[in-house]
Amino acid sequence: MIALLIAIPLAFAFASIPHERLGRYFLPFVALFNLVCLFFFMQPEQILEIGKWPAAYGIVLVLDSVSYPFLIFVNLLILLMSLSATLENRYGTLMLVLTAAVNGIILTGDFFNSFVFLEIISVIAYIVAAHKDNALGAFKYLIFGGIGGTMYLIGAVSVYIKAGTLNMAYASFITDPLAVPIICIFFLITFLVELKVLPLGLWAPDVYSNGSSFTPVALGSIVTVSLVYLFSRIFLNIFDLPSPELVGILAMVSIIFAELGALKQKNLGRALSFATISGISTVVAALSIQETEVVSAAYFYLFNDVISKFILFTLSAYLGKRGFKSNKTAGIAFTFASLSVVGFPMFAGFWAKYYLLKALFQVDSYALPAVILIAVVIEAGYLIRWNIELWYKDEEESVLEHGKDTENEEGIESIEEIDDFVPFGAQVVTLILALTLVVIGFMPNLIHDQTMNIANNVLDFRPYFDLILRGGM
Amino acid sequence: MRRVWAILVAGVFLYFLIAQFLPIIPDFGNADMFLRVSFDIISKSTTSNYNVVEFKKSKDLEDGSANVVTSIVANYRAFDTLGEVTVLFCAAIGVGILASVLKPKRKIEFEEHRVLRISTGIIFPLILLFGVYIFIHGHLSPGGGFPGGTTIALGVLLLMLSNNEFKVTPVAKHIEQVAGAGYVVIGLMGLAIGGVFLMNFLPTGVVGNLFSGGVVPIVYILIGFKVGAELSSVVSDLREG
Repeated sequence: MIALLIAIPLAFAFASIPHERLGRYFLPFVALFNLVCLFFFMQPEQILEIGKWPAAYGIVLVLDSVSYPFLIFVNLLILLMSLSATLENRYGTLMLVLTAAVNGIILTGDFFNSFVFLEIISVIAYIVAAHKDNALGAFKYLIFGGIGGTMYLIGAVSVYIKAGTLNMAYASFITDPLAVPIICIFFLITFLVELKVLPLGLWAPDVYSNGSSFTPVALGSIVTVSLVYLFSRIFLNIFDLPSPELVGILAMVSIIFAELGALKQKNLGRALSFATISGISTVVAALSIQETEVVSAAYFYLFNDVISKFILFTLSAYLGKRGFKSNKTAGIAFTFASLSVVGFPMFAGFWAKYYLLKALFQVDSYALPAVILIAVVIEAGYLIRWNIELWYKDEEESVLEHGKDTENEEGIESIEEIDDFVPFGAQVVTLILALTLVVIGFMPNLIHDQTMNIANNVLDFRPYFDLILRGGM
Repeated sequence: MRRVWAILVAGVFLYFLIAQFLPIIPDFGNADMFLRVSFDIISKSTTSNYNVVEFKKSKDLEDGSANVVTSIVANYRAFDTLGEVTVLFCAAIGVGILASVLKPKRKIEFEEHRVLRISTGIIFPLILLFGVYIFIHGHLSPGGGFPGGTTIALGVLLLMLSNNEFKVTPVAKHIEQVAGAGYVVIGLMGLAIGGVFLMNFLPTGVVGNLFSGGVVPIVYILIGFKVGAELSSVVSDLREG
């Protein structure tokens, strides 16, 4: 039954080939179908051995209390993106395949199968990155991502050489403990590339700032969440993270450099890209500590970061060079999201930072809190600057500027369309997300209980192994 | 400065490969097959006890393909193959999008040659037949859907080289649609009949016969059509944009 989460999006993607627009119309319904299935028909703690082959021989899909919340979150993000983004050409079809691939990478319990889904995600990511004629950015990503993907493949092959099976649970049990750290280095390189930890994440600013309404959302939110899941599964659940101190230091350096990079940018898209790098690096640094409270806080931080960046990127794509004077709804959502990223009280971001700092102090870790506090100061600096700039932008001047930039005919059109340059769907979605941040700000336990549950389960290998063993060997 | 960094990173990585990674992998020709799942997969005994598999004699095994690569690709790990088909599908869409966006309205023309055109007319049906042979016999001999489809697409490329008027019609897109969705539908039929996605729900027959292997030949025929149509569209997109 859980295979439907992958099969249905794929079937609709294949079915939508002959007509360019069909994929775009299928997408919200497919995402909704997945959510309905997840809420009403699929409950955690079940596995599916595809083709009825025993777990060690074939491929197994696992729905446990770690993957379940991640699946709901990712499918929710896809549903919201399908309403807020402008998907022209065949991008709708690609997003359907992306839905299948992120569901697959979260569900799978097999190393090679996770590589296949990673491959699909990468191919889609390169195409999506090239949107709006951003060939150079996409090419940079292709090189970084290609190396990362190859490393993952070598890692998967090495697991098979040492364990004789590709199943994650069995491999963790069988693999020679001396070989594990060496194999894990390969996986780690992939994750540092895909999770944009500097210097391996240098591709991100060029890709995310292409001005598309879905590239940064699809890659920065949806794909990132699924890869944080895979990172946790491999390094917290199945194997151990190789040299966690080194990963922590690398991530901390990445946070500082990314914030400084964001401060220097003159372009909103690039500034936000660097802010995303810093956000995900914080999550990686926190996950590398491997303590329940810290890991839980890291997931809370991820939740806040992903939702805030969703709002910021979507609005910045539609704004172009205009300000908020003529569109106050968009402005309010943008400001709320910025305040939540900074960690202003009353927003989810405050609790994200509070829980993280509290948990870090509890485990006597002081370097990361210092880095996070420095980052907050820098972040507040540039995000408030951008907010002031966009709220006080002189509208007519910027419209004329905008008109000049594009062709003359389009310039006249853009003056007429000034009142609704952010599409209705995007306005509603960003507003709902901004309100979610406020609601979580008042009731942080809604998310905190969930993240604690995930953290407790992800750090305990036993239930995962038992679940797969129960499927039979 | 950049070059120094590059040399440094490459040096560290090479050191890691040679000093750390190479010692943990077994010597060439020294892998222990009995400790790997592939041993049971080759002897077709993952769900039953070990039995000798005999060509044209063994009957109703858990997997009926004589070609062991096919039995892994299209049966034991059919889900990965569905993923790989999707990778190719995405790549084809990507070529279509990039060719139409980055350089619209361009067409590559070739010098037409009478000998080439007439000989292509003779050889094209043979190429088509050969491609079809490769994917229909995928479960018996080396081959399968991917090489078979590629062969067909090469035939289409030959038509394009010899005749500037030749065009890949939208029929290719429909073939792609039906074949791709068909693969998922076969998986869903497994779910409906056997309760598990991508289950081999047909009898596997005698190893080595044309009609054996259960759903494997059907899957390979679908993949063959899909890959052929997809690569033909890629070639056409690259030419016309």
